[in-house]
Amino acid sequence: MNDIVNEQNKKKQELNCGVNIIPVIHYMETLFGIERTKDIVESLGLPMNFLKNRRNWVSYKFYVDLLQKLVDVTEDDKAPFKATFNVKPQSLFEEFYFATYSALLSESPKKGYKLAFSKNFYTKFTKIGDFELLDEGKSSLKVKLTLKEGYKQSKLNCLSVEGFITSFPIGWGLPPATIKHTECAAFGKDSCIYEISWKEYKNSYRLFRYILLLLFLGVESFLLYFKFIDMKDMIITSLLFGLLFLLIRYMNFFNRTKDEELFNYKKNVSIFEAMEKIEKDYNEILSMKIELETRNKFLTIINDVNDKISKIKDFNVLLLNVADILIDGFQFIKAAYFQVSPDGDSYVSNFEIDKTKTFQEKNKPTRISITSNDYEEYYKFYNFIDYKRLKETKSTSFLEWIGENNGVCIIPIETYDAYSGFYCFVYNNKIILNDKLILDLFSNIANQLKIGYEKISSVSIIENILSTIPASVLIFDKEKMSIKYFNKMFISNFEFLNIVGQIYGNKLFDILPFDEESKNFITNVLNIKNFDKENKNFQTTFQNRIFECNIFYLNDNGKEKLFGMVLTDITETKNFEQKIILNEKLLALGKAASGISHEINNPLYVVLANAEEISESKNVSPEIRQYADEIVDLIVNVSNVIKDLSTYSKNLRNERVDEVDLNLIIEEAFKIVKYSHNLLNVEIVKSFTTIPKIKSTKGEMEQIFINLFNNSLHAINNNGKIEVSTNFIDNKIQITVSDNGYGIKKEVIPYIFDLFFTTKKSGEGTGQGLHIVKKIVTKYKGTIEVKSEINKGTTFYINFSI
Amino acid sequence: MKEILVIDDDNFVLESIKKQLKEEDMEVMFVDNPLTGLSIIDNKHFDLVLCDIKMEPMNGIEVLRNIKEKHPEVPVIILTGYVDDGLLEKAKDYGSSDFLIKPIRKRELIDSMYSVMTQ
Repeated sequence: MNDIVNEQNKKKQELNCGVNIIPVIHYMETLFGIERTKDIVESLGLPMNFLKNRRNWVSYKFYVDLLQKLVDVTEDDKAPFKATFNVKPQSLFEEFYFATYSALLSESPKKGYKLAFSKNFYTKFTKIGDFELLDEGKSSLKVKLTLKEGYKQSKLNCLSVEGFITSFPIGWGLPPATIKHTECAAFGKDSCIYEISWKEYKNSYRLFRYILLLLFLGVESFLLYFKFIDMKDMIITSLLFGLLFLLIRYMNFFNRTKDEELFNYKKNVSIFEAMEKIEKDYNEILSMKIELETRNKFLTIINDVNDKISKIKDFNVLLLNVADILIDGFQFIKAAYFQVSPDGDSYVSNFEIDKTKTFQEKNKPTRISITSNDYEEYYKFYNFIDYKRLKETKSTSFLEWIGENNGVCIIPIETYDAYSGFYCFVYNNKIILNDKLILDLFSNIANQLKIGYEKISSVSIIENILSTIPASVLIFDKEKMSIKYFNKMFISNFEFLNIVGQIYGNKLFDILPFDEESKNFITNVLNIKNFDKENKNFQTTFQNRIFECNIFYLNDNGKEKLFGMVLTDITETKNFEQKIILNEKLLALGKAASGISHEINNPLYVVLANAEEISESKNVSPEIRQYADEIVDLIVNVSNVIKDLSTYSKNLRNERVDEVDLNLIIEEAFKIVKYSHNLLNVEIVKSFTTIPKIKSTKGEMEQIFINLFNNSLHAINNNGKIEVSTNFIDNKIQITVSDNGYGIKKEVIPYIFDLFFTTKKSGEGTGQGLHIVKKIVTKYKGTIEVKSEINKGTTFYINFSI
Repeated sequence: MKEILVIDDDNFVLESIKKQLKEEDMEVMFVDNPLTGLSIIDNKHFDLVLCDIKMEPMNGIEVLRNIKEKHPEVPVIILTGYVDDGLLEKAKDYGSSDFLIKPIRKRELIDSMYSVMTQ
């Protein structure tokens, strides 16, 4: 015990026991009795006999702890006030002591107060703070209590000070003072300010006593003067009179009401009540704030969920993502999605997440089957869930605290098909917020998922359709023409364009290199008023591929007008069409040719026969004979042209296949060509080497070179150079025919052997010459190639293998 | 002496053929009517028949067929100004020995005729 005492002595000596601790102990003793009070108080660590010694001091902390203990055991947070208010003299001696003290001090408690708040006085009982008199009135005082540096004012301490101040006038036999605690250091101010007012004795009462005193003195003096009494008598009577006075004061003192009813606590405007009200309001606001935060949190959750729904196309992945969001939002420790089985009678887990395990097996769901018979197995996993109940309450979400440590949250998701099922979450922190809010959130999420699923399934249907049709589909908005959607076909169709970068979000004209005309057409279509009535189709070319474009209008989604475009590659179709047209032309030509051939050939025959006659006639000059020969040659030539028009693949010419010397053929061809061209300004260079004969017909071989020479002469405009050479190398006969004419454009070269292809103006050529050349060359298993340069010349290379 | 029959409804053509064949060692009969031609064949032997296609009332293909039915040993050369592959094939099917398209040079005509007759 001594150790404790010494220790306490070593600690700060801040508050005197007599004034501060003993009243509290006495109050407790009146409520709980001496034994229990001893137990309570000594639990704080100091012995009762130490504390009951008025001379001892304790620390401020101890005092506050004691007051807190008082509040705890009485369950009355006003207890500190009541303890100091009800300070009573503990013995008769104390009673007289106090009565005399206050009687001698003054009539009015004011002097008492002022004394109490004077430094000399209060430092005898407290070292933790200072009182300062701010103002005084007739029966009022304003005092400030400032705690010293390092001491924090406590509400409990303040209450006890109030109690002390309020009860002060009782010592004068007056009712308790009223106190206004206008500022409190326990609530953030620097100091506590108390406005005290009390009742004084009535002036008349005082007057009466003074008159009485004067009367007494007068009477005494009179009696003394007139020697009715002597000094000894006067002294005795004065003392007696004084005692009487005191008695009156004692009576007042003893008559003071101990009744607590007199004390109208309500009259005292205590800052604590205001503070309590504020605290109550504060708690209300706090709970409102928490609710707002919860709503906010829920809003965030639903936004995240909606975001996922709009972005994720796979429902399984979506379910997983939403589960993650909810796990984060509510600190769930386990999550699973159970999907209704095809037979509809059991649930099979789609995925399971266990946050209590360090190793997550999120991506490999195990399948646990729950049937109405073996939910035992399920129990093993989750340890709870009443499956039957679950089936019954299938339609709404619910939270349930099951077992000692865990709660379960069920959210059913209804998709009307195989994905129907429920989320099952496990949590281990009691959710203290409004259940209704949470359940509303879950219902909301379930609904969103249902809608999302509908969208996904319909979207995937549309996607499937759009990905199989053999056309590219694009969707873009009118305003910015940025691409909102494109199907898979678009990628493969336009691979050849090497579209770089992202397609989605980029502008239509940046992605596809439409020509000006097409761009204008598209822009016009987007702006027309009556969409259905106008033409929205056009053809355009990208590189060498032809596309049919159809523009369609989508209902706008409120914020932007959406248009779509379907592009179909019709290059092959077009080529095919052209081939058909060509074929028909050929057929028509063939038919025409065959139609009129008869009309031409018969008369030609006559001319030929006559020319032959002339040529063989003996009466004719050489000159005439020559003319006749020319006529014969040309007629044969003309008739061959007509035969070539025929579609007949076999040789219509009246020729036998023979061993033909191409060198001679070339000479012959020149001769024929001379008939129709003026070769004065044409330099002809021939370099022939001995070449073997080739098995073919004379006429056809001649035709080759006639046609080539005709072309060359046209190219040089009958003014230039034509070179012909023949060679035999590597078992091949090689013939080159070149001119220094205007040449053939590079882009055109692939087409020059096509039937009806001609760069000559209409009327100048039929586009058959080179076609026939190639036809004949190919017929005799030869090859023909061309090299050309604009304004430099053209060279044809013909090879026949022997 | 070879006996030749030429059937063509165009007299100018007949004249031309006449000119071309006049120096040859052939006896040539010219007929401008296919029916007449057919009846002549029935009554007289010929070593060769030259026949046009486009004729009225019977075209050369019919004539060819007729001849080949009745007198299969008589070779027929179709000599026509008509350019039509269908007919060419048909002619071959019905057994023409050759198919020549007018106009034809004298030399080639004669060569073809002898070639057919010596087969």
